[in-house]
Order: sequence, then C-alpha cells, then structure tokens
Amino acid sequence: MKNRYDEPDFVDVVPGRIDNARDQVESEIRALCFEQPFAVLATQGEGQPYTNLISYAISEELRHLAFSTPSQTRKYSLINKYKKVSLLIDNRAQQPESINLIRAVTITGKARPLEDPKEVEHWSGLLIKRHSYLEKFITSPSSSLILVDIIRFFYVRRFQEVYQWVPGNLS
Amino acid sequence: MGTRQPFIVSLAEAYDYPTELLGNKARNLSLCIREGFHVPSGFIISAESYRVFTGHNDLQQRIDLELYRKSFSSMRWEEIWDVALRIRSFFLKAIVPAALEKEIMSYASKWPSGTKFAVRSSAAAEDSASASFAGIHESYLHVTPDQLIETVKLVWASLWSDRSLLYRDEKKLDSRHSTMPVLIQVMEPSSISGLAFSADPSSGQQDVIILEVISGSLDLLVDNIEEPERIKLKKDSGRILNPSGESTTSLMANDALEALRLKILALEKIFGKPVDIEWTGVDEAFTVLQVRPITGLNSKPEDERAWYLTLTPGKNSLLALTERVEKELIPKLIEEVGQFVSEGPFPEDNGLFSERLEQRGQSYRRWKKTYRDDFIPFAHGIRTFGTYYNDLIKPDDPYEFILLLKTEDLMAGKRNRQLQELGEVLSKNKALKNKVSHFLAGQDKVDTNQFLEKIKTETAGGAGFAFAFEKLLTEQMNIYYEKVSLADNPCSLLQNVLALSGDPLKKEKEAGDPAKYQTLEKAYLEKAGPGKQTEALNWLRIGRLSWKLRDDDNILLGKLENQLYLYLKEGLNRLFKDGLVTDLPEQIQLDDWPVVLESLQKQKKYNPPAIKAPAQEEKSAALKPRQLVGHPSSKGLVTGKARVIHSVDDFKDVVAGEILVFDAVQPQITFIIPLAAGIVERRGGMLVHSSIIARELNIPAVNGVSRATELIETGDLLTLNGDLGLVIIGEPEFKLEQADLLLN
Repeated sequence: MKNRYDEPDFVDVVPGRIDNARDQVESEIRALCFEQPFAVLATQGEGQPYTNLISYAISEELRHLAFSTPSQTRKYSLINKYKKVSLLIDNRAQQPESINLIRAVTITGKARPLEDPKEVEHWSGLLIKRHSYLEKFITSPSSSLILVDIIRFFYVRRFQEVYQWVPGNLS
Repeated sequence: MGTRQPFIVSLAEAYDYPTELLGNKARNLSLCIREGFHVPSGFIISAESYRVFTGHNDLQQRIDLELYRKSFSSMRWEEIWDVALRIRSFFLKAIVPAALEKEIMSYASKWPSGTKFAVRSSAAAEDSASASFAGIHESYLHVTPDQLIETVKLVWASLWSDRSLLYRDEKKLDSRHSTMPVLIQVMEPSSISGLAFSADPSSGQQDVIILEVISGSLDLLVDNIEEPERIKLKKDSGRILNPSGESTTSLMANDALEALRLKILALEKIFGKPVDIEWTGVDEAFTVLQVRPITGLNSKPEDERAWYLTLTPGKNSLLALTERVEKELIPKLIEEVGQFVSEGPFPEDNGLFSERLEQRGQSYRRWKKTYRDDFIPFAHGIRTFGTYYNDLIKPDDPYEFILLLKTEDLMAGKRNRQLQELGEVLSKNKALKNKVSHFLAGQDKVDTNQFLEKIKTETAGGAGFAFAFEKLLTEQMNIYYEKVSLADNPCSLLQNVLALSGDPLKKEKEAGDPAKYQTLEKAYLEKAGPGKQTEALNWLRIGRLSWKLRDDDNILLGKLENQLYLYLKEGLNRLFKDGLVTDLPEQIQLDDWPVVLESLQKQKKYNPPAIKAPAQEEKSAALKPRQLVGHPSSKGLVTGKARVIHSVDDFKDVVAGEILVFDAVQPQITFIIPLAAGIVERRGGMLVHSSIIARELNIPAVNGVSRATELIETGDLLTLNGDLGLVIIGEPEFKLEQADLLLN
C-alpha cells in the first residue's frame, strides 16, 4: 500500500521497534500489575461510587485479584450487595515528571468474599507473599479475603493511548 | 540548600566550571585562553539560565507532551519535524525572565556599542569525545546587541530541532535532561580562515594534518558558500602531500603554513588526542574559534532516518535546486509523459513495441532516481519557508504559513473538482442518476463502455455526462498506483461519482481564501522590511513552488509509470500468446521491465518474480485498541463506520459518510476523500496530502496512527477527535460485564 516514490521505506518506522504489538502491550499490563503493590478499589451502592486504597495480589494468568479487608468495613458490605467493582493500578508515584510515562490499568470485575478454606489458604498465601508486613492483618479472624474475578483490563499509557484486554479470551 | 549556579560566566574563567554548566565548546576554548592562544573574548549563558528560562515558561512539560505522546521510534521524520516545529514555536513565544535578561544585557554592554557577536550552542553533550553534534545545533553570526535575546532563544530551541532529536536518539542520549549553554563571542574580522584536522577523519590516518582554507571569514566555508583549498600535510615534517605533487599552496605562504602546523600540534598536545579546529588568521593573528576531539572516525548511522538529515539542503543549494526543478526537470517530465501518451496504440510490430517498452523503462528508471535525488530534497523548501516565516512572524499557529502557499492550482485539485462536478450533474438529473445506480447494481448486464454508449443516446443529459466521464478516465486516471492503473476499473470510479451525488456535497474551496492570504502576505513582507524584502520573497517563492511540485510530481510520475504499466501488460499478453509465459502474473512489477523486454526481444521464457506477502500479526480477540493516538491534522469531531482502504480495489465499496482508514494517501488517490466523513492515516505529518485536503473540506483527520490499517477493521465504529488527535474504537459500552459472558 505504499507508493514507491513518496518517501521510501527506509525513512519510515524503524523495523522491529513497533511498540504496540500485542505481546508488548500484554507484557506491559502484566509488568504493571506485578510491580505495583497498591490499587484503588471502586465499589458502589445505591448509585453512590466509593473508593479505597488496597494492597493486592494478582494471579499469574491475570484472571483473579485478591485483597483483604476487615468485615466491618463499608467496602465489605457494599461488595456483599453489589458485586461489580472496578480497580485502578498505576505507576504515577514513580513518574512525577512526565505524564507520558505514567501507565495505568482500569480493571472491571466481580468481587466475592472467599469462604472455602482451600481457596482462602491459597489466596492469603499469595497475598502474604506479596505483602509480608500485612500477615497479621490478613490472617486476623476479623478480616475477610475478597477475590475479584477479572473481566477486562483497560490499559492507558502515554496519556491517551488506550487498549482493552480480556484475559479470559486467552486459551 | 546551595546557592543557585551562575547565569553567566566569562569565557576566560569557563574552564573552572563543570561541563554540565557551560558545555565542552566553551570549556575547550577557555582552556586555549589559559594556554596562551588567542580566542575572541566573550561569555557563556549557562545551563542554569536555560533551566530558569524553560522553568519560567513550563517548557519542559510542553516538550514532554509533544515528544513522548507517541513512541519516538514509531515517528516518521516528518512527524519529528512537526514536533520540532511546535517546540520551536513554544521557545520563540516564551519570555526570558527579567532578571536573566538584565544580566545578559548588562554583561554584553561591557563591549563598545556597535560590537557584533557570534551566538553559538555549547550544549553539555556537544564536542565531547563520544559525540560531536557538529552542525546539529544552531549558531548565529554578526548578531547586534538588540537581537541578542531573541537569538539566544533560537539557539536554545535548536536543542529540540529535528536534527538534534534524531541525533540524540541515534546516540542513545536522553533528551529529557538535555540543557543548552550558549556561547557569546565578539566577532573579529579575518582575511583567512579554515578547518584543521590533526588526523584524517575519513581514513583514521594519524600521521597527517588535513586543512581546508579559504580567504575571508569561516562562515563562508561552513555554509558551503565558498569552496576551500584542501591541503594535506605530513604531521611530523610539514611536507605537502597533495596528489598533484605541488609543494606550495595558493592561499598560504610556506612559512605561514609551517606556523599553522606548529599551532595545530600544540593544540593536539593540550587535548591529548587528534583534534578538529576551526581557526582564523595566521602567525601572530592565529585565533582559535573552536576545538574538539575528532569523533566518529568511519562510523555509520544506525537509524536510517538519518538519511533525512542529508535532505535539508542549505539556502544556496536550495535556490539552485529550485531553478533546476522548476525550469528544467518538471518541464522535461511533462514533455516526456506527453510524448509517450501521444504515441497512441501499441505498434503491431514486435521490434517497435520492444523499443517503446524500453524507452518507457529507461525513462521510469531515470525519473525514479531524480525523484529521490532532487524532488524529495526540494519538497523541503516548504519546511525551510515555514521556519523562516515562524521566526519572522512568531504566529500563534505554527502552520499559519500554509495559507500563503496555496495560490496555484494543483493537478490533483483539478481532477478532484472534475469528479465532483460529475457528481453534481447526477444529483441534478434524477433520471440519469437512476440509470447509473441501476447499472451499478448489476441489473443491466452490460459493461461500463456499453452503458456509457447507451446513455449517450437514450438519456437526456446522458451524452454530456458520458463524455465528461470518459475524459476524466483517460486524461486524469491514466495513472499507475500500487500495481494497478486507476483507469483499469471504470466501474469503481462511476461508483464514486454516484456516491458524490448524495447530499450535502462537500465542495473543495478554491485555492485558499484570497483575501486572507493577501493580508498575510502583506503582513509578512512588511515585517521583513525593505532590508529583507528580496530574501522574504525568495523564500516565499521556494515555498510555493515546492508546495505545488511535491503534489504534481506524484501525478506526473504516476502517468509515466502508467505508460510502462500498459506496455508491460501488453508485452506479457504477447508473451502469453507465444507460450512464453505459463501464467499471467496477478501483479505487474514495474521494476521487472528489463526481464520482460529481454524475453520479448529474444523470444525467451519469462518467469514472473515471486510476490512475498507482508508478514502480519495474528489478530487477537483478547487485545483490542480502545483509543489510538496520532496527530490532530484537521479539527473536528465525528463518529462513523470505518472503511479500511488496503488498495484501490476497496474504493468501489466506499459509502459517503464513512471514516476512511489509510496507510498512506498519495496525491494520485485524493479524489476519494470528498466522500469521507473523516480520515485516519498511518503516515503522519501536518503537511501530508490527506490532511491538507481534509482541512480544506473541513472534515476531521488524525494521522500518524501507528499500524492504523492493522488495528482498525472495516465496520468498526470510530470516533475521531481531530482537535486532540485521538481515534476511539467501538462504543463506550460495558455489555461484556452485563452479559456475564465469562463469569457465572
């Protein structure tokens, strides 16, 4: 689709350096989710959005995310009523100088408190591995482990470049 | 809490300060002063001044937004030029803080009034052992004190020129923390000047000295105005090694040459390695203007965009090129194309046919080279004019200069108007329009020629329409474009005419708004003043010519290629009849003409070259782009269905009101654009053909969208934001979450 005359190939994009290839974008999403310790959790209730900062752990295949919360909190009761949640993970703290270097993912998903002892053991293990200083908090009987089944990622980089990724579609 | 670093340091003291503050160029000269060499007196505006200036105007953030909104490696040179133009415009409009300006001006007033200065870049990374930046940043000579502040801004801005950005990218230097100290020196008159290398920079040979000498001041040499005398000396003995074997030179007496050799050796000793020196005066008058270690012996640039750097011809070579392109090349091309077209049908005789095929092939080969060697560099005349205009006027919109360029009719514009007029004929003649849509729906069971003949006699107004359509086809569509002739498929063109007959019709405005460009032209010439009138008119002329020719040359070459294409097609048919080709190739490769010719002449078997399909990434259902970023090349907001154009075959399917997605739009095919509600293009730049037309038609356009034709599919819902340069794909829905497709 290129005219041989007007601006030949060799002045164009440097081959092999295209950075919006599928692998590249997916690995950036993965890197961000694994390097960041914290996320903003958005819950809802009666039309009122509500946000919190949480410490999380994410599964290897990026389909599930876990966090811990005391069962008396507002977010816990909201999740019990409305399971649809959204999370924001970003690296803005590391990139104060350039808006173009900030990367962020918005995650949509469904949250549920874990009760099955096997599941609890597995996910609390992952969470403690990631945030060992929170062990006491996570294992406290007054805390509940919440698992988010992830539906989609909306990945933003360079201020306005946006991709949507559905990990569930990966076979 | 340290005190701030100095804004200004005298050249004599510069060696006591770090490179980061004053740059190597200044420090190297300061060292020469210390070692007893004469250096024109002066001072350095430090990196601290640059930081205060950029901080005061929030320039770093603006640069960041421009430079990193897309990956730098995916930007074409034209996009980099655009980024550089915008950054330069920020600098020109930025204000030097009063305290800094006062300090600079009071320092400059130490020299007697009437003193003229050289204002030169001394960037921190410049003139170091690993990167010379030779000729990358700007320097200005003969600057009067009242021009000083504005000139310093220009030198600061040159840190972000396209050249500088590409150079730093190639050298893997971080642009983010670059600063630009500026060296100000008194201009001293000189009767002899030159360059000296204490090793041969091209061969790496270390026992020779290479000199380039001219009579007069050094800028005549650096700007390629005067051809220097080149002298090669044996480093240890001073023996002249010129190939002609002469033992004297025309510009320098032998004892002056010997004195110069000793100075060069002394300088090399100070720096401890071979040096590259800019000097002026001999004997007692010997003056060092610049000295730096020789870098990059025999090194080759990795990034091929560096080819672009060779494309920006200097002022004088551009003037010469303008003359050549306008008076010689284009008339010759028009004549050659006209000659071929007028030769009429293919000759029966195989010998004569082969002869004509060869003429076309040779012509194609020659013009392809001319395109690369002359036309592409000439197209940079637009940019040179743009920069000149912006420096002079400092407009709010750095692309205002485009309005001044559009005074003459482009070939593509004439064709586009003819096509639209045909559309208008149909929109006014309902009966005729019905016939055309009936035919295009495939209900007449005749081909286009038969249909046209039919309406000539059977339908009121049909004859005029049919003749105009045939004229358009043979005179304007006899253009080769990506493996086909645009005249190959008259049905597709008729489809476009029909689509253009819908309401409301977008009409291309006449070449610019005359009142507006006349006002601008007047303001431009007034600002230049009587002193610069000729210069300003010259640049305007170059800008206008290159504007017109960079469009027209594509059309003319398309017609030339079409001639070769037609002959190759016929040649292959003849070979096929003779059983010399087993299968006719699907695509005709113009570059294969010598092989086809040989087969015809020697009645030899012809094997068409294999066509490699470009490797494409497998489509992913999991990852979808939601919002792509490009450049806002024509303002406005529009939502519509995407039509991805992979080749001209897709043109017949275009429905008015779709958003057309291209890899690259050449002038050969801009006639399709009036049908579009918006344009997306992979190839970026404010001056690309599609953007210019989109602005004229007032439809939104975003270009420079990486892999646009791969990431967007025909039928996708697109929202174009032509103000911010965004392409949003799909509807803002959360159906997936609601449908519980993946979760129970």
